[in-house]
Amino acid sequence: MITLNKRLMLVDDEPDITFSFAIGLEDNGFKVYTFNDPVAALSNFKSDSYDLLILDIKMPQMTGIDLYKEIRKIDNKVKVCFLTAFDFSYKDLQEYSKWIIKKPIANDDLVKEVNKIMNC
Amino acid sequence: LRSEKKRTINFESDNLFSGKIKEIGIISIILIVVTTYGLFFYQENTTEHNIRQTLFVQQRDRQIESTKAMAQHISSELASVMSILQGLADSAYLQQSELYGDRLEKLMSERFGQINAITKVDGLFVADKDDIITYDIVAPGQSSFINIDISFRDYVQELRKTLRPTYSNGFEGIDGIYRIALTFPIINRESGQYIGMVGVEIPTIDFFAHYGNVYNVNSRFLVSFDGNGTMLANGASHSLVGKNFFGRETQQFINSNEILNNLTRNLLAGKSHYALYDYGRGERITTDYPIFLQNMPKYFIQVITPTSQIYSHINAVLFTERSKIFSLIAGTTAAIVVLVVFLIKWNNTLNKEVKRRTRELEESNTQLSLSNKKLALANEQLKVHDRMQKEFINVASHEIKTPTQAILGFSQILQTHPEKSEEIIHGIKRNATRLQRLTYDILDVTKIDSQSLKLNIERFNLNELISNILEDYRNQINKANVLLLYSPEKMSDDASFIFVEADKSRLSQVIYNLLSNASKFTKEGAISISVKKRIKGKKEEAIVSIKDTGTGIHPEIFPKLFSKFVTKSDTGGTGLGLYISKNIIEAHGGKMWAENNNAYDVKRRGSIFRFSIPLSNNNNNNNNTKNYLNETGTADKTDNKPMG
Repeated sequence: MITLNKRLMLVDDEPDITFSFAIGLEDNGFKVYTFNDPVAALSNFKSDSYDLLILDIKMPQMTGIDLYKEIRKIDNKVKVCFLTAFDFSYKDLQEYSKWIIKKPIANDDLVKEVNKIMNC
Repeated sequence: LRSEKKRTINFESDNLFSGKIKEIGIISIILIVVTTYGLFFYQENTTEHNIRQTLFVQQRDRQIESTKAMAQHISSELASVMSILQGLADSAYLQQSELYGDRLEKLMSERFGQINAITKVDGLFVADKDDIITYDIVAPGQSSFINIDISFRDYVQELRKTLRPTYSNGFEGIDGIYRIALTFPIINRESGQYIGMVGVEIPTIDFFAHYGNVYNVNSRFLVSFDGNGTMLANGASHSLVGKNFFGRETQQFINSNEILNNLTRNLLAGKSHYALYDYGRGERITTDYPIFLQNMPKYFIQVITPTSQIYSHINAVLFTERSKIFSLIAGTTAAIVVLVVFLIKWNNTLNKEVKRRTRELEESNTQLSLSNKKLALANEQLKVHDRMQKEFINVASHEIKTPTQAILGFSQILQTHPEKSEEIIHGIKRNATRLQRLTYDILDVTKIDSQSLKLNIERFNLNELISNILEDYRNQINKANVLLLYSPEKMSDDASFIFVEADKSRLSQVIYNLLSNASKFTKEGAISISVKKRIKGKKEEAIVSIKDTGTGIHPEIFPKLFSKFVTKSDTGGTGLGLYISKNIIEAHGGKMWAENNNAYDVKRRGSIFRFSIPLSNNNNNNNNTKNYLNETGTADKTDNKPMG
């Protein structure tokens, strides 16, 4: 089955953030699956189910990096982008992914960033 | 530090060493001084003995010389007298047998004067061929012998026999005075006929007194003899004058001393010598010499000196010398002692100075290393503080960005999704509140960390404050299945007045925070607050406990419970409340701690947060307190109503 909508998994422990990001992205034609619990996100993850994963870093049960490592065990091709409000540790993150989105970010800017990643 | 210690030890051992050196030095100096003095006195004794011997020999030789000179002097003077007598015998008057009369008188008195200028004579006389004195001039006090026959005198007989000038042996005059006579024959030059004689009589004691001491036996004295060995003068005793040396009386006097006898025997034989002897009156040295007249030994002299006199003279000389040397050595020694004392003092002063400076150096080293340590510590603390500060800023910025992101997102979708406006506005409000709370908390943390938290201290009843907070809290929180219990101190009647001096709003902030935390983790059961007094040391304090029946403190969280940004993320706290609360309590001089309630039911075991706060000093017997009670009056109620 061919679907035109790109599928995104958005993981952030703040529901208020996933809520507005999801609306903003879906308004621009993405299909967004949001998770506020990284453990739940991992258990719901299946290979080839998503075009892009957007992972927050600081989460209580599991950090975004740990989640990334676990997902890579299942799927080593899916694009992953980190989402962080921290000003440091970009270099650490770049070990895993070249795409990093800094919070706070406006919805339209987020869409631009995601499109850019999609076109890579 | 280790090297400093080593240096100190070395320095001390140097000190010990110098102490030993000092001892060795002092002992050495004493030994050297003692040895030097010993050697000096030994040498001095040997030298003095030698010097004494030498000086004695010198004295002896000098005495020999002077004795000889004296004999020659006497000889020449007697010869002079004889030549005057010869002149008289050769004179015209006497040659013409004019043996008395006025004309002779003038000549005689003139010659008498000349002779007396040489030596004192008792009388000058002229005798005729029958040995009758025809004319004489006598010294004052002496009687004239004119017309007296002197043929009985030995010297007259000798002259008559030899017709030569005669130096007589000694003889005693009728006045008892011992004399010698010098006579010269008057013989006519043409006929060769004997006319008579001219002569002088010389008193021997007076005569020899002219050359030496003949009176005092205790110093150097003179003894003289004639050819028979009869003494003409004797400094040892006048009674011996006229006595023969070898006669009984003299021998008794000298204890028949063999040495002296030999010496005198040799002298009378014309041989001069010297001798040391002691016949019982102390050691003496005698030098002698014959008095030669007409190339024959006619008279003899002995010069006798008690050796004690010589030695005392030598000793006086030696004493002077010894004094000089001793003064010199004593002076040198004193100078050395002064020098050594000065050196020791100087050394001590130097040692003290070195010690003082070393101590100062050590002290300043210690202080320096101490302040270095302090600096290093402060530097470390600064680094830690800096790291913590950076971390705080990072976390704080993260925490601020999160609600900001939410507000930003909500406000954007509000335009595109008006149908969700209610939900979105709620979201904006929620995040704005969170942002506000976070802002206040960060501000408080900044104040705490920069130590600029200010407290508005006032005196109030803690029970009353808690009651009011509970009243407000009950209105804010609506949880049907959680009881809010309050049990203030009930130990005594006025126990409900727990007066504290504190910042009321800050203390409220703490209690609200603890209540809010308890409420967050408690789904059912009770939150109970209690206040108790306790005495800690000399001060009283109140313990406020807030106990819940919630999930308890997570073991991972527990160790860093009161640190910044420690929170269970799903509870929506800033993670700063407990840090701020603890610091507020500590700023009041109290303490805050937490524990898990060890209840049987694990699910409801909960946690207890407690803090202490010092009580106001005049907690009791305060009139204002009572008035305050009467006005408010609710403090002692036990509030066990459910929160709704």
